[in-house]
Amino acid sequence: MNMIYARVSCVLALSALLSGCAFSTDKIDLSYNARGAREKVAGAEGVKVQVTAIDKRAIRDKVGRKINGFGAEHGAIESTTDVVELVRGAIETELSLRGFPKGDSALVTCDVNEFWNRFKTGFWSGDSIASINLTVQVKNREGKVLFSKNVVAEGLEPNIQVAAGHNAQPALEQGLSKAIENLFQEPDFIPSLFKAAGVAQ
Amino acid sequence: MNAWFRSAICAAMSLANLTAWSSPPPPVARHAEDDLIRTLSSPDWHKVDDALDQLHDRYSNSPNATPAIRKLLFNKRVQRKAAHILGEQRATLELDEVKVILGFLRAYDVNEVMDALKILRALQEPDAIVRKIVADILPLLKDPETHVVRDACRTLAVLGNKDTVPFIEPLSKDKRSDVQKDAQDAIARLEKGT
Repeated sequence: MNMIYARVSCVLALSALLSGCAFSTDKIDLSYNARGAREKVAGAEGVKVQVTAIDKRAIRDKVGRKINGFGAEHGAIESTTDVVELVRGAIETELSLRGFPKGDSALVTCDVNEFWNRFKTGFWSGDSIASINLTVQVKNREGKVLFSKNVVAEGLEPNIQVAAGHNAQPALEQGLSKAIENLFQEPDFIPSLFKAAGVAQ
Repeated sequence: MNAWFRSAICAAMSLANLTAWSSPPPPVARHAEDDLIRTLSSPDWHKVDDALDQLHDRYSNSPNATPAIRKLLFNKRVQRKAAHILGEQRATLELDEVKVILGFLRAYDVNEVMDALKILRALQEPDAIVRKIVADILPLLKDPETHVVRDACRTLAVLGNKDTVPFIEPLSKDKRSDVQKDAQDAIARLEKGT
């Protein structure tokens, strides 16, 4: 009898392992790929920018939760990359590609309010939807705020079959990419860096 | 077993019938081209999107809607569809309009980047703008996504010149055979000057 229990346990454990059990924790390696070219901003070399980011997320140790076929939440999805550093690095990379060197003549602060993936179940397939919410401020050395904006973006990995980490990853990365794109498309963002540094654009 | 099989077939047919009857009615009568062009300035982006589809389906060779479609490049909701249609029309755009399409090259979604590359190689632009497009495509040759690199090679083969060859050259020895092939084809075409 014990042998039968042992065999059944082994089969269950193996099937859970091979099918990506909903109760286990998935670890994903998030990254930011600054794809394509960026136009250098005229005069940017005179504006030295320091980028800092603060974690303001309600849940800090996860970036999402796996769900089962009935939509019930189970195992956690965790990022092996520091999410706050990832966001900070993304802004810094984009500034650097546009010609802004690192320094302290202008300060960009970013509050990471939300960096979360949720799954939506459907009849045939589901969607992985990531919500990114950042508050970005530009300050001068005296701490005067010259730009403040709440940047929101959504990433989508459509038609997924498994609500697990490997499907949350592209949605989160896409969401971050869109949030950063939205920030740099804000007409006042780049001019505020020049103002903060006291440099004429 | 046969009776079970017959019942299953009957059930499937009934379900198919039910689905067909419950499907939405066909779209409202199609508008004439002028009406569709007027709809392009509607504040309702769903209507604009539908008008773009209809113009694309029914008047793809007509240049009448081109000016209105060009304006839609600055409407985030429908800009990709507008760009796609302008590419198919082999339109000539102004620099600020081309810059919108160049912005698509920064997208996270590989398919969006590939679509943008296809649109760019279809446009009929003056040399100065083509040089700007080529400069923006060159970084994509180092992209981690194979399909992006391949489409970048193909687009540079159309828009580039002999000066572009040194940028593509390293890819002709790439370990990915499909990248290698597209790079070699692009180099051959650019060196031939066609």
